[in-house]
Amino acid sequence: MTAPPSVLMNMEDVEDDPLAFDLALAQALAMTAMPPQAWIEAAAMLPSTLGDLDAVDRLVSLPSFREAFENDPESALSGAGLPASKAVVTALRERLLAG
Amino acid sequence: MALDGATAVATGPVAPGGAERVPRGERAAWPPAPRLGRSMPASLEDADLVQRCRCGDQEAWRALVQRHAPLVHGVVRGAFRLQGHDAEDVFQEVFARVYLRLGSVRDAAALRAWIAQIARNASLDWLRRDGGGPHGNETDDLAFEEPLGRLEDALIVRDALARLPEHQQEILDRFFARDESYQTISAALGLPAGTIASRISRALGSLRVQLGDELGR
Repeated sequence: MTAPPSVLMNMEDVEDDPLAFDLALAQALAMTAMPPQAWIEAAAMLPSTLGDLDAVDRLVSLPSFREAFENDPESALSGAGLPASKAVVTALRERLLAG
Repeated sequence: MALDGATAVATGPVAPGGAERVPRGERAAWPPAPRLGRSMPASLEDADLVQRCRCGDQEAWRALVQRHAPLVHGVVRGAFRLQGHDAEDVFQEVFARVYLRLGSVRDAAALRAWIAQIARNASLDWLRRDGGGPHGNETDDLAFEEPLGRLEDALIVRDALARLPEHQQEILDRFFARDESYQTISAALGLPAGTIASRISRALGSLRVQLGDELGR
């Protein structure tokens, strides 16, 4: 039988040492705490933000834009009239790598 | 659950910094035009959420982000110890990669492992771009195996917590994860301060039962 994972091993000792269980629990929950709500909201808005990618895809075919993007992604996007958000910059990098 | 996304995705070129793969020939179909959807039931499986996301359902995407945010947060901050804006940037980068590559997911039931792999690779990419992290030598991915293993354990606990009644989840999360005092919890939840300890105790009892079920004991 496979040994239980380490954090959970502490929890096996609950009968003898309830404090060990509580400490292990606190460690586990802290390690998987929810991030700030603003982070979640920003990630949840990705479908709307990435709607701009149709336009970005057209730009990717332009050598001048690719060069500008490699030098300064945010300025290149702003110059092209696109939002220079982290999501769009990341998505464009993905497109360039995949292309 | 192993934090290994190798079985979850279709074949394709290997992206820099990791094993998650980018699909070829799917760019025209993915990502789809976004559309508004109804709110998602919490009971929906990952596979259902992925299917709905593929159809452009924004609410499904929101539910997916909400569900896997603790995992990504745990990898980025808990295992790789990125902080502040660095952690936030990588968190957003992970979900951007996930969204763009959802079309390549072959086994949506293994979505969590796949997302964990993307989070791991994005964190390593960040450390490499940043010159090796705060101590300058933290780009060896083997160095993170141990904290990733602890995260895997922690996710089992988090899953068990998610099966408790909402009021028990809330009180345990506030006390253990957010380190709030009895007084703060009492004020936030509108409960008599003298009942907080006993409520935590009852919730812990429920969690132990859930963990026992999870581990087959």
